[in-house]
Amino acid sequence: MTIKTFKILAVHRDPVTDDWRQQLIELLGSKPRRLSHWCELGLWGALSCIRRAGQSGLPNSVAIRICCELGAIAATRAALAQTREGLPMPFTFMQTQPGQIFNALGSALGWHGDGLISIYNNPGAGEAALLQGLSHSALLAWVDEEPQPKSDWIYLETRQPDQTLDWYPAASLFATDPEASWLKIVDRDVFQAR
Amino acid sequence: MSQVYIAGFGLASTLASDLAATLQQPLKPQQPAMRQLEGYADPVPYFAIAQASSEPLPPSWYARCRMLVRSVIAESGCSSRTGALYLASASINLGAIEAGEDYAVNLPGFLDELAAMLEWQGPVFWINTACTSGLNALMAARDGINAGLFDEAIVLGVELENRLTLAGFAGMQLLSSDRSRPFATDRNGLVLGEAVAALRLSRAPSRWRIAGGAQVIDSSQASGASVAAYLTMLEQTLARAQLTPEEIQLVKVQAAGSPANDAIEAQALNQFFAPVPALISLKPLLGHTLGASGAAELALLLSLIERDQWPTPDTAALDPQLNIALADKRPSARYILACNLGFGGSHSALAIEDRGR
Repeated sequence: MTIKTFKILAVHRDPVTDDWRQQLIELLGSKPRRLSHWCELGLWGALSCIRRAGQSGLPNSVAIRICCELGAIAATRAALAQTREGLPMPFTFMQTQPGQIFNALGSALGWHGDGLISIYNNPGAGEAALLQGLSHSALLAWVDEEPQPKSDWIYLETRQPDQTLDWYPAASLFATDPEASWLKIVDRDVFQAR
Repeated sequence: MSQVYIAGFGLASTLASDLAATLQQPLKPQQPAMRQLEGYADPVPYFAIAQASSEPLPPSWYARCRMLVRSVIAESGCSSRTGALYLASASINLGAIEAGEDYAVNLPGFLDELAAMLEWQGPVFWINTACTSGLNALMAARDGINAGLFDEAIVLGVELENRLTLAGFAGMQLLSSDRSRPFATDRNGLVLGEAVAALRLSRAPSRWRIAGGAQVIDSSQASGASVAAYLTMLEQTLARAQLTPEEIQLVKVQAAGSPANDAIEAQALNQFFAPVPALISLKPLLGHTLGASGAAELALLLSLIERDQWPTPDTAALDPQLNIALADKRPSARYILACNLGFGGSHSALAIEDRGR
Protein backbone atom coordinates (compact mmCIF):
# COMPACT_ATOMS: atom_id res chain seq x y z
CA MET A 1 0.00 0.00 0.00
CA THR A 2 1.45 3.37 -1.04
CA ILE A 3 0.29 6.32 1.03
CA LYS A 4 1.19 9.99 0.68
CA THR A 5 -0.16 12.73 2.90
CA PHE A 6 -0.28 16.45 2.17
CA LYS A 7 -1.26 19.64 3.99
CA ILE A 8 -3.45 21.83 1.78
CA LEU A 9 -1.78 25.23 1.92
CA ALA A 10 -4.22 26.99 -0.41
CA VAL A 11 -6.92 26.37 -2.96
CA HIS A 12 -8.05 28.60 -5.82
CA ARG A 13 -11.28 27.57 -7.49
CA ASP A 14 -12.78 31.01 -8.04
CA PRO A 15 -15.04 31.38 -11.06
CA VAL A 16 -13.46 33.16 -14.00
CA THR A 17 -15.12 36.54 -13.81
CA ASP A 18 -15.01 39.30 -16.44
CA ASP A 19 -12.30 41.17 -14.58
CA TRP A 20 -9.84 38.27 -14.24
CA ARG A 21 -7.36 39.93 -16.57
CA GLN A 22 -7.37 43.10 -14.48
CA GLN A 23 -6.80 40.95 -11.40
CA LEU A 24 -3.86 39.31 -13.16
CA ILE A 25 -2.31 42.69 -13.93
CA GLU A 26 -2.62 43.63 -10.27
CA LEU A 27 -1.12 40.32 -9.14
CA LEU A 28 1.77 40.60 -11.58
CA GLY A 29 2.30 44.32 -11.16
CA SER A 30 2.35 44.74 -14.92
CA LYS A 31 0.51 43.67 -18.03
CA PRO A 32 1.57 40.19 -19.21
CA ARG A 33 3.20 40.18 -22.63
CA ARG A 34 3.38 37.64 -25.43
CA LEU A 35 1.52 34.93 -23.52
CA SER A 36 -1.34 32.81 -24.82
CA HIS A 37 -4.82 33.33 -23.39
CA TRP A 38 -4.55 29.87 -21.80
CA CYS A 39 -1.23 30.78 -20.22
CA GLU A 40 -2.59 34.06 -18.83
CA LEU A 41 -5.60 32.23 -17.40
CA GLY A 42 -3.32 29.72 -15.70
CA LEU A 43 -1.07 32.44 -14.39
CA TRP A 44 -4.04 34.27 -12.85
CA GLY A 45 -5.16 31.16 -10.96
CA ALA A 46 -1.65 30.24 -9.83
CA LEU A 47 -0.78 33.69 -8.52
CA SER A 48 -4.14 33.94 -6.75
CA CYS A 49 -3.50 30.56 -5.11
CA ILE A 50 0.02 31.49 -4.02
CA ARG A 51 -1.23 34.82 -2.65
CA ARG A 52 -3.92 32.92 -0.72
CA ALA A 53 -1.16 30.79 0.84
CA GLY A 54 0.42 34.02 2.08
CA GLN A 55 3.42 33.69 -0.17
CA SER A 56 4.86 35.82 -2.94
CA GLY A 57 7.31 33.31 -4.37
CA LEU A 58 7.64 29.57 -4.87
CA PRO A 59 10.55 27.42 -3.64
CA ASN A 60 12.39 25.57 -6.40
CA SER A 61 11.58 22.27 -4.70
CA VAL A 62 7.86 22.72 -5.38
CA ALA A 63 6.79 20.75 -8.45
CA ILE A 64 4.13 22.20 -10.76
CA ARG A 65 1.69 19.85 -12.47
CA ILE A 66 -0.91 21.30 -14.84
CA CYS A 67 -3.75 19.23 -16.24
CA CYS A 68 -6.09 20.31 -19.01
CA GLU A 69 -8.35 18.97 -21.67
CA LEU A 70 -7.62 21.37 -24.51
CA GLY A 71 -4.41 23.19 -23.59
CA ALA A 72 -3.54 26.32 -25.53
CA ILE A 73 -6.24 25.57 -28.09
CA ALA A 74 -7.03 29.15 -29.13
CA ALA A 75 -3.36 29.87 -29.83
CA THR A 76 -3.08 26.59 -31.74
CA ARG A 77 -6.06 27.51 -33.90
CA ALA A 78 -4.57 30.96 -34.53
CA ALA A 79 -1.21 29.47 -35.49
CA LEU A 80 -2.86 26.92 -37.80
CA ALA A 81 -4.77 29.77 -39.48
CA GLN A 82 -1.58 31.79 -39.92
CA THR A 83 0.18 28.73 -41.31
CA ARG A 84 -2.51 28.32 -43.98
CA GLU A 85 -1.68 31.88 -45.09
CA GLY A 86 2.11 31.54 -44.87
CA LEU A 87 4.43 31.32 -41.87
CA PRO A 88 3.04 31.62 -38.33
CA MET A 89 4.24 34.61 -36.37
CA PRO A 90 7.01 33.51 -33.98
CA PHE A 91 5.14 34.62 -30.86
CA THR A 92 1.98 32.90 -32.03
CA PHE A 93 3.93 29.70 -32.57
CA MET A 94 5.49 29.97 -29.12
CA GLN A 95 2.01 30.43 -27.67
CA THR A 96 0.95 27.02 -28.98
CA GLN A 97 3.38 25.45 -26.51
CA PRO A 98 1.66 25.05 -23.13
CA GLY A 99 5.06 24.84 -21.45
CA GLN A 100 5.22 28.60 -21.91
CA ILE A 101 3.29 28.82 -18.63
CA PHE A 102 6.30 27.52 -16.68
CA ASN A 103 8.37 30.38 -18.01
CA ALA A 104 5.72 32.83 -16.96
CA LEU A 105 5.32 31.27 -13.51
CA GLY A 106 9.06 31.11 -13.04
CA SER A 107 9.45 34.77 -13.87
CA ALA A 108 6.58 35.81 -11.60
CA LEU A 109 7.50 33.59 -8.65
CA GLY A 110 11.28 33.33 -8.90
CA TRP A 111 10.91 29.59 -9.43
CA HIS A 112 13.30 27.24 -11.26
CA GLY A 113 11.90 23.78 -10.80
CA ASP A 114 10.15 20.75 -12.23
CA GLY A 115 6.95 21.32 -14.20
CA LEU A 116 4.78 19.10 -16.40
CA ILE A 117 1.69 19.46 -18.52
CA SER A 118 -0.23 16.22 -18.09
CA ILE A 119 -3.37 15.18 -19.97
CA TYR A 120 -5.09 11.89 -19.24
CA ASN A 121 -8.10 9.92 -20.39
CA ASN A 122 -8.90 8.31 -17.04
CA PRO A 123 -9.42 10.85 -14.22
CA GLY A 124 -8.97 8.33 -11.41
CA ALA A 125 -5.73 6.92 -12.76
CA GLY A 126 -4.58 10.38 -13.80
CA GLU A 127 -4.98 11.94 -10.36
CA ALA A 128 -3.44 8.90 -8.68
CA ALA A 129 -0.39 9.14 -10.95
CA LEU A 130 -0.09 12.87 -10.27
CA LEU A 131 -0.21 12.51 -6.49
CA GLN A 132 1.80 9.30 -6.20
CA GLY A 133 4.47 10.83 -8.43
CA LEU A 134 5.11 13.70 -6.02
CA SER A 135 8.17 13.48 -3.81
CA HIS A 136 7.96 17.06 -2.51
CA SER A 137 5.40 19.82 -2.19
CA ALA A 138 3.49 20.70 -5.33
CA LEU A 139 1.23 23.17 -7.04
CA LEU A 140 -1.40 21.27 -9.03
CA ALA A 141 -3.85 22.75 -11.48
CA TRP A 142 -6.58 22.22 -14.02
CA VAL A 143 -6.58 24.98 -16.62
CA ASP A 144 -8.81 25.20 -19.69
CA GLU A 145 -10.01 28.20 -21.67
CA GLU A 146 -13.07 26.46 -23.16
CA PRO A 147 -15.81 25.39 -23.17
CA GLN A 148 -15.99 26.98 -19.71
CA PRO A 149 -12.85 28.85 -18.67
CA LYS A 150 -11.31 27.30 -15.61
CA SER A 151 -8.15 27.88 -13.58
CA ASP A 152 -8.34 25.68 -10.50
CA TRP A 153 -5.23 25.33 -8.35
CA ILE A 154 -4.32 23.50 -5.17
CA TYR A 155 -1.07 23.98 -3.28
CA LEU A 156 0.05 20.92 -1.32
CA GLU A 157 2.90 20.46 1.13
CA THR A 158 4.17 17.00 2.02
CA ARG A 159 3.59 16.75 5.74
CA GLN A 160 2.37 14.24 8.31
CA PRO A 161 -0.46 15.39 10.61
CA ASP A 162 0.46 15.45 14.30
CA GLN A 163 -3.00 14.29 15.34
CA THR A 164 -5.50 11.65 14.28
CA LEU A 165 -7.73 12.94 11.49
CA ASP A 166 -11.15 11.90 10.30
CA TRP A 167 -10.49 11.02 6.67
CA TYR A 168 -13.30 10.85 4.12
CA PRO A 169 -13.24 10.32 0.34
CA ALA A 170 -12.61 13.19 -2.08
CA ALA A 171 -14.29 12.90 -5.47
CA SER A 172 -11.37 14.63 -7.10
CA LEU A 173 -8.17 16.38 -6.27
CA PHE A 174 -9.76 19.47 -7.83
CA ALA A 175 -13.07 19.18 -5.98
CA THR A 176 -12.07 18.97 -2.35
CA ASP A 177 -14.31 20.13 0.47
CA PRO A 178 -13.74 23.89 0.94
CA GLU A 179 -13.05 23.22 4.61
CA ALA A 180 -10.59 20.37 4.00
CA SER A 181 -7.04 21.13 5.06
CA TRP A 182 -5.45 17.71 4.47
CA LEU A 183 -5.27 15.40 1.47
CA LYS A 184 -4.12 11.81 1.35
CA ILE A 185 -3.75 9.26 -1.42
CA VAL A 186 -3.87 5.57 -0.60
CA ASP A 187 -2.90 3.61 -3.71
CA ARG A 188 -5.46 5.09 -6.17
CA ASP A 189 -7.97 6.54 -3.69
CA VAL A 190 -7.98 10.19 -2.64
CA PHE A 191 -9.11 11.18 0.87
CA GLN A 192 -9.48 14.52 2.61
CA ALA A 193 -9.72 15.72 6.21
CA ARG A 194 -10.58 19.01 7.92
CA MET B 1 16.17 3.43 -5.18
CA SER B 2 14.35 3.09 -8.46
CA GLN B 3 13.80 -0.51 -9.54
CA VAL B 4 12.25 0.18 -12.89
CA TYR B 5 13.84 -1.19 -16.03
CA ILE B 6 13.69 -0.43 -19.73
CA ALA B 7 12.86 -3.86 -21.03
CA GLY B 8 12.35 -3.25 -24.73
CA PHE B 9 12.46 -0.68 -27.50
CA GLY B 10 10.98 0.04 -30.89
CA LEU B 11 11.83 2.82 -33.32
CA ALA B 12 10.67 4.10 -36.69
CA SER B 13 12.81 6.95 -37.93
CA THR B 14 14.47 8.38 -40.98
CA LEU B 15 17.00 5.53 -40.72
CA ALA B 16 14.48 2.73 -41.21
CA SER B 17 10.92 1.82 -40.38
CA ASP B 18 12.01 -0.44 -37.52
CA LEU B 19 15.01 -1.00 -35.24
CA ALA B 20 15.98 -4.33 -36.75
CA ALA B 21 16.38 -2.73 -40.18
CA THR B 22 18.07 0.31 -38.62
CA LEU B 23 20.80 -1.83 -37.10
CA GLN B 24 21.45 -3.84 -40.24
CA GLN B 25 23.16 -0.88 -41.87
CA PRO B 26 26.32 1.05 -40.94
CA LEU B 27 25.02 4.19 -39.25
CA LYS B 28 26.35 7.49 -40.49
CA PRO B 29 25.11 11.08 -40.62
CA GLN B 30 22.12 11.34 -42.92
CA GLN B 31 21.39 13.77 -45.72
CA PRO B 32 17.94 15.22 -45.06
CA ALA B 33 15.29 15.84 -47.69
CA MET B 34 14.42 19.45 -48.43
CA ARG B 35 10.97 20.97 -47.91
CA GLN B 36 9.78 24.18 -49.54
CA LEU B 37 7.56 26.19 -47.21
CA GLU B 38 5.10 28.71 -48.55
CA GLY B 39 6.14 32.17 -47.41
CA TYR B 40 9.73 31.13 -46.74
CA ALA B 41 12.36 31.86 -49.34
CA ASP B 42 14.71 28.92 -48.93
CA PRO B 43 13.91 25.22 -48.65
CA VAL B 44 14.43 23.70 -45.21
CA PRO B 45 15.90 20.27 -44.42
CA TYR B 46 13.71 17.57 -42.91
CA PHE B 47 14.07 13.92 -41.87
CA ALA B 48 10.90 11.96 -42.66
CA ILE B 49 10.41 8.39 -41.42
CA ALA B 50 11.69 5.88 -43.96
CA GLN B 51 8.92 4.05 -45.73
CA ALA B 52 9.42 0.27 -45.82
CA SER B 53 9.46 -0.77 -49.47
CA SER B 54 7.30 -3.79 -48.72
CA GLU B 55 4.52 -1.70 -47.17
CA PRO B 56 1.91 0.17 -49.21
CA LEU B 57 1.75 3.91 -48.50
CA PRO B 58 -0.98 4.44 -45.87
CA PRO B 59 -3.97 6.37 -47.24
CA SER B 60 -4.22 8.93 -44.42
CA TRP B 61 -2.35 10.51 -41.50
CA TYR B 62 -4.43 8.39 -39.14
CA ALA B 63 -3.65 5.15 -40.99
CA ARG B 64 0.06 5.96 -41.08
CA CYS B 65 0.15 6.84 -37.38
CA ARG B 66 -1.75 3.65 -36.53
CA MET B 67 0.67 1.53 -38.54
CA LEU B 68 3.72 3.16 -36.93
CA VAL B 69 2.57 3.08 -33.30
CA ARG B 70 1.44 -0.55 -33.59
CA SER B 71 4.76 -1.48 -35.18
CA VAL B 72 7.02 0.13 -32.57
CA ILE B 73 4.98 -1.16 -29.66
CA ALA B 74 5.17 -4.68 -31.05
CA GLU B 75 8.91 -4.25 -31.56
CA SER B 76 9.30 -3.22 -27.90
CA GLY B 77 7.99 -6.64 -26.88
CA CYS B 78 4.76 -5.31 -25.39
CA SER B 79 2.07 -7.96 -25.52
CA SER B 80 -0.35 -6.62 -22.92
CA ARG B 81 -2.68 -3.66 -23.43
CA THR B 82 -3.55 -3.15 -19.77
CA GLY B 83 -0.51 -1.23 -18.51
CA ALA B 84 -0.10 2.52 -18.68
CA LEU B 85 0.61 4.31 -21.94
CA TYR B 86 2.56 7.56 -21.72
CA LEU B 87 2.50 9.60 -24.90
CA ALA B 88 5.40 12.01 -25.39
CA SER B 89 4.69 14.48 -28.17
CA ALA B 90 4.78 18.18 -28.91
CA SER B 91 2.53 18.13 -31.97
CA ILE B 92 0.43 14.93 -31.67
CA ASN B 93 -2.14 14.99 -34.50
CA LEU B 94 -1.55 18.45 -35.98
CA GLY B 95 -0.75 16.79 -39.30
CA ALA B 96 -4.21 15.21 -39.40
CA ILE B 97 -5.88 18.50 -38.52
CA GLU B 98 -3.94 20.26 -41.29
CA ALA B 99 -4.99 17.54 -43.72
CA GLY B 100 -8.62 18.09 -42.73
CA GLU B 101 -9.14 14.48 -41.75
CA ASP B 102 -12.66 14.12 -40.35
CA TYR B 103 -11.88 12.50 -37.02
CA ALA B 104 -9.28 15.12 -36.05
CA VAL B 105 -11.76 17.26 -34.15
CA ASN B 106 -9.43 18.52 -31.48
CA LEU B 107 -6.08 17.86 -29.93
CA PRO B 108 -6.90 15.99 -26.70
CA GLY B 109 -9.29 13.69 -28.55
CA PHE B 110 -6.11 12.11 -29.82
CA LEU B 111 -5.67 10.18 -26.58
CA ASP B 112 -8.86 8.26 -27.27
CA GLU B 113 -7.87 7.88 -30.93
CA LEU B 114 -4.51 6.50 -29.84
CA ALA B 115 -6.13 4.06 -27.42
CA ALA B 116 -8.40 2.90 -30.25
CA MET B 117 -5.46 2.50 -32.66
CA LEU B 118 -3.76 0.19 -30.17
CA GLU B 119 -6.87 -1.37 -28.60
CA TRP B 120 -5.32 -0.07 -25.37
CA GLN B 121 -7.28 -0.80 -22.20
CA GLY B 122 -5.05 0.80 -19.57
CA PRO B 123 -4.80 4.51 -18.73
CA VAL B 124 -3.32 6.86 -21.32
CA PHE B 125 -1.34 9.96 -20.37
CA TRP B 126 0.10 12.70 -22.55
CA ILE B 127 3.16 14.47 -21.15
CA ASN B 128 3.95 17.68 -23.01
CA THR B 129 7.05 19.64 -22.12
CA ALA B 130 8.03 20.16 -25.77
CA CYS B 131 11.39 18.56 -26.61
CA THR B 132 11.90 17.11 -23.12
CA SER B 133 8.54 15.27 -23.21
CA GLY B 134 10.15 11.87 -23.78
CA LEU B 135 12.49 11.93 -20.79
CA ASN B 136 9.82 13.49 -18.57
CA ALA B 137 7.31 10.83 -19.65
CA LEU B 138 9.88 8.17 -18.72
CA MET B 139 10.22 9.68 -15.26
CA ALA B 140 6.44 9.91 -14.83
CA ALA B 141 5.98 6.29 -15.94
CA ARG B 142 8.75 5.16 -13.59
CA ASP B 143 7.03 6.97 -10.70
CA GLY B 144 3.75 5.23 -11.49
CA ILE B 145 5.40 1.81 -11.49
CA ASN B 146 7.36 2.59 -8.31
CA ALA B 147 4.12 3.64 -6.60
CA GLY B 148 2.53 0.33 -7.56
CA LEU B 149 -0.09 1.90 -9.83
CA PHE B 150 0.82 -0.44 -12.68
CA ASP B 151 3.40 -3.16 -13.38
CA GLU B 152 4.32 -2.11 -16.89
CA ALA B 153 4.20 1.05 -18.96
CA ILE B 154 4.96 2.06 -22.50
CA VAL B 155 6.49 5.45 -23.23
CA LEU B 156 5.50 6.26 -26.77
CA GLY B 157 7.22 9.14 -28.55
CA VAL B 158 5.25 10.39 -31.54
CA GLU B 159 6.32 13.25 -33.75
CA LEU B 160 4.97 13.24 -37.29
CA GLU B 161 5.39 15.83 -39.99
CA ASN B 162 3.15 18.86 -39.93
CA ARG B 163 3.46 22.24 -41.51
CA LEU B 164 2.84 24.28 -38.37
CA THR B 165 5.84 22.91 -36.50
CA LEU B 166 8.21 23.20 -39.44
CA ALA B 167 6.97 26.67 -40.33
CA GLY B 168 7.05 27.73 -36.68
CA PHE B 169 10.70 26.77 -36.30
CA ALA B 170 11.50 28.33 -39.68
CA GLY B 171 9.77 31.55 -38.66
CA MET B 172 11.85 31.66 -35.49
CA GLN B 173 14.97 31.20 -37.62
CA LEU B 174 16.04 28.14 -35.65
CA LEU B 175 16.54 25.79 -38.61
CA SER B 176 19.75 24.86 -40.39
CA SER B 177 19.89 25.51 -44.10
CA ASP B 178 21.29 22.06 -44.84
CA ARG B 179 22.20 19.59 -42.06
CA SER B 180 22.77 19.09 -38.35
CA ARG B 181 26.31 19.70 -37.07
CA PRO B 182 26.45 19.19 -33.28
CA PHE B 183 29.19 21.22 -31.59
CA ALA B 184 30.70 22.09 -34.99
CA THR B 185 32.35 25.38 -35.84
CA ASP B 186 29.90 25.95 -38.68
CA ARG B 187 26.77 24.69 -36.89
CA ASN B 188 23.85 26.72 -38.11
CA GLY B 189 20.68 25.38 -36.57
CA LEU B 190 18.37 22.42 -36.18
CA VAL B 191 17.14 19.84 -38.63
CA LEU B 192 13.73 18.60 -37.55
CA GLY B 193 12.60 15.05 -38.10
CA GLU B 194 9.86 12.51 -37.60
CA ALA B 195 10.09 9.59 -35.19
CA VAL B 196 7.80 7.13 -33.50
CA ALA B 197 9.46 5.25 -30.66
CA ALA B 198 8.40 2.95 -27.86
CA LEU B 199 10.20 2.14 -24.63
CA ARG B 200 8.73 -0.64 -22.50
CA LEU B 201 9.18 -0.10 -18.78
CA SER B 202 8.79 -2.89 -16.27
CA ARG B 203 9.57 -3.73 -12.67
CA ALA B 204 10.93 -7.08 -13.86
CA PRO B 205 14.75 -6.84 -13.79
CA SER B 206 16.46 -6.52 -17.17
CA ARG B 207 19.64 -5.00 -18.58
CA TRP B 208 18.75 -1.28 -18.37
CA ARG B 209 17.79 0.17 -14.99
CA ILE B 210 16.50 3.72 -14.68
CA ALA B 211 18.74 5.02 -11.90
CA GLY B 212 17.34 8.55 -11.55
CA GLY B 213 16.34 11.68 -13.33
CA ALA B 214 15.47 15.33 -13.01
CA GLN B 215 13.92 18.23 -14.84
CA VAL B 216 14.74 21.89 -14.20
CA ILE B 217 12.89 24.72 -15.89
CA ASP B 218 14.69 28.03 -16.16
CA SER B 219 12.35 30.91 -16.82
CA SER B 220 15.09 33.27 -17.92
CA GLN B 221 15.04 31.79 -21.43
CA ALA B 222 11.87 31.27 -23.44
CA SER B 223 13.38 29.01 -26.06
CA GLY B 224 16.97 28.43 -24.98
CA ALA B 225 19.05 26.68 -22.36
CA SER B 226 21.00 28.09 -19.41
CA VAL B 227 24.25 26.87 -17.88
CA ALA B 228 22.89 27.24 -14.33
CA ALA B 229 19.81 25.13 -15.05
CA TYR B 230 21.87 22.51 -16.90
CA LEU B 231 24.20 22.20 -13.90
CA THR B 232 21.29 21.91 -11.47
CA MET B 233 19.74 19.24 -13.71
CA LEU B 234 23.00 17.25 -13.62
CA GLU B 235 23.39 17.66 -9.84
CA GLN B 236 19.82 16.57 -9.12
CA THR B 237 19.94 13.62 -11.51
CA LEU B 238 23.15 12.24 -10.04
CA ALA B 239 21.99 12.84 -6.46
CA ARG B 240 18.76 10.93 -7.09
CA ALA B 241 20.66 8.15 -8.84
CA GLN B 242 23.21 8.11 -6.00
CA LEU B 243 26.05 8.56 -8.46
CA THR B 244 29.13 10.73 -8.64
CA PRO B 245 30.19 12.57 -11.81
CA GLU B 246 33.14 10.18 -12.14
CA GLU B 247 30.75 7.23 -12.51
CA ILE B 248 29.14 8.64 -15.67
CA GLN B 249 31.02 7.26 -18.66
CA LEU B 250 28.73 8.24 -21.53
CA VAL B 251 26.42 11.22 -22.07
CA LYS B 252 23.88 11.38 -24.85
CA VAL B 253 23.73 15.11 -25.32
CA GLN B 254 21.05 17.35 -26.79
CA ALA B 255 23.57 18.94 -29.22
CA ALA B 256 21.23 19.65 -32.09
CA GLY B 257 23.57 22.03 -33.91
CA SER B 258 22.13 25.17 -32.37
CA PRO B 259 24.74 27.96 -32.23
CA ALA B 260 23.63 29.11 -28.76
CA ASN B 261 22.38 25.96 -27.03
CA ASP B 262 25.31 23.77 -28.11
CA ALA B 263 27.70 26.31 -26.57
CA ILE B 264 25.70 26.42 -23.34
CA GLU B 265 25.60 22.63 -23.14
CA ALA B 266 29.35 22.38 -23.77
CA GLN B 267 30.08 24.97 -21.09
CA ALA B 268 27.93 23.16 -18.52
CA LEU B 269 29.49 19.77 -19.32
CA ASN B 270 32.99 21.22 -18.97
CA GLN B 271 32.09 22.82 -15.64
CA PHE B 272 30.45 19.73 -14.18
CA PHE B 273 32.71 16.91 -15.33
CA ALA B 274 36.48 16.64 -15.09
CA PRO B 275 37.17 15.20 -17.55
CA VAL B 276 34.05 15.28 -19.72
CA PRO B 277 32.83 11.70 -20.36
CA ALA B 278 32.39 10.22 -23.83
CA LEU B 279 29.64 12.11 -25.66
CA ILE B 280 27.26 11.15 -28.43
CA SER B 281 24.74 13.24 -30.34
CA LEU B 282 22.17 11.32 -32.36
CA LYS B 283 20.82 14.41 -34.15
CA PRO B 284 22.89 13.85 -37.33
CA LEU B 285 21.29 10.40 -37.60
CA LEU B 286 17.69 11.11 -36.58
CA GLY B 287 17.29 14.86 -36.78
CA HIS B 288 15.68 16.66 -33.87
CA THR B 289 12.49 14.70 -33.30
CA LEU B 290 11.13 17.14 -30.69
CA GLY B 291 8.68 15.51 -28.26
CA ALA B 292 9.68 12.05 -29.45
CA SER B 293 13.42 12.69 -29.17
CA GLY B 294 13.86 11.43 -25.61
CA ALA B 295 12.32 8.05 -26.42
CA ALA B 296 13.70 7.81 -29.96
CA GLU B 297 17.29 8.63 -29.04
CA LEU B 298 17.28 6.25 -26.05
CA ALA B 299 15.82 3.45 -28.16
CA LEU B 300 18.57 3.90 -30.72
CA LEU B 301 21.40 4.38 -28.21
CA LEU B 302 20.58 1.36 -26.05
CA SER B 303 20.10 -0.79 -29.15
CA LEU B 304 23.47 0.29 -30.51
CA ILE B 305 25.17 -0.62 -27.25
CA GLU B 306 23.42 -3.99 -27.12
CA ARG B 307 24.65 -4.76 -30.64
CA ASP B 308 28.18 -3.42 -30.05
CA GLN B 309 27.63 -0.87 -32.81
CA TRP B 310 28.56 2.77 -32.97
CA PRO B 311 27.72 5.37 -35.60
CA THR B 312 30.33 6.91 -37.86
CA PRO B 313 31.08 10.36 -36.41
CA ASP B 314 30.17 13.44 -38.37
CA THR B 315 33.02 14.90 -40.37
CA ALA B 316 32.19 18.50 -39.45
CA ALA B 317 35.05 20.13 -37.58
CA LEU B 318 34.23 20.58 -33.91
CA ASP B 319 34.30 24.10 -32.55
CA PRO B 320 37.63 24.40 -30.64
CA GLN B 321 36.12 27.09 -28.44
CA LEU B 322 33.70 24.53 -26.99
CA ASN B 323 36.49 22.22 -25.77
CA ILE B 324 34.35 19.20 -26.46
CA ALA B 325 34.69 15.92 -28.40
CA LEU B 326 32.24 13.32 -29.66
CA ALA B 327 33.11 9.66 -29.11
CA ASP B 328 34.26 7.92 -32.27
CA LYS B 329 33.88 4.42 -30.79
CA ARG B 330 31.62 2.80 -28.25
CA PRO B 331 32.86 3.48 -24.72
CA SER B 332 32.56 0.95 -21.95
CA ALA B 333 29.96 2.56 -19.73
CA ARG B 334 28.05 1.23 -16.75
CA TYR B 335 26.23 4.50 -16.17
CA ILE B 336 24.84 6.56 -19.02
CA LEU B 337 23.22 9.96 -18.93
CA ALA B 338 20.60 11.05 -21.47
CA CYS B 339 19.98 14.81 -21.71
CA ASN B 340 17.37 16.85 -23.57
CA LEU B 341 16.56 20.55 -23.71
CA GLY B 342 13.25 22.10 -24.69
CA PHE B 343 11.13 25.17 -25.31
CA GLY B 344 10.07 26.95 -22.17
CA GLY B 345 13.53 26.57 -20.61
CA SER B 346 13.12 22.85 -19.84
CA HIS B 347 16.27 20.83 -19.07
CA SER B 348 15.83 17.08 -18.46
CA ALA B 349 18.21 14.22 -17.78
CA LEU B 350 17.92 10.54 -17.03
CA ALA B 351 20.64 8.28 -15.59
CA ILE B 352 20.58 4.67 -16.76
CA GLU B 353 22.57 1.75 -15.42
CA ASP B 354 23.81 -0.95 -17.80
CA ARG B 355 23.59 -4.09 -15.66
CA GLY B 356 25.28 -6.17 -18.35
CA ARG B 357 24.00 -8.77 -20.72
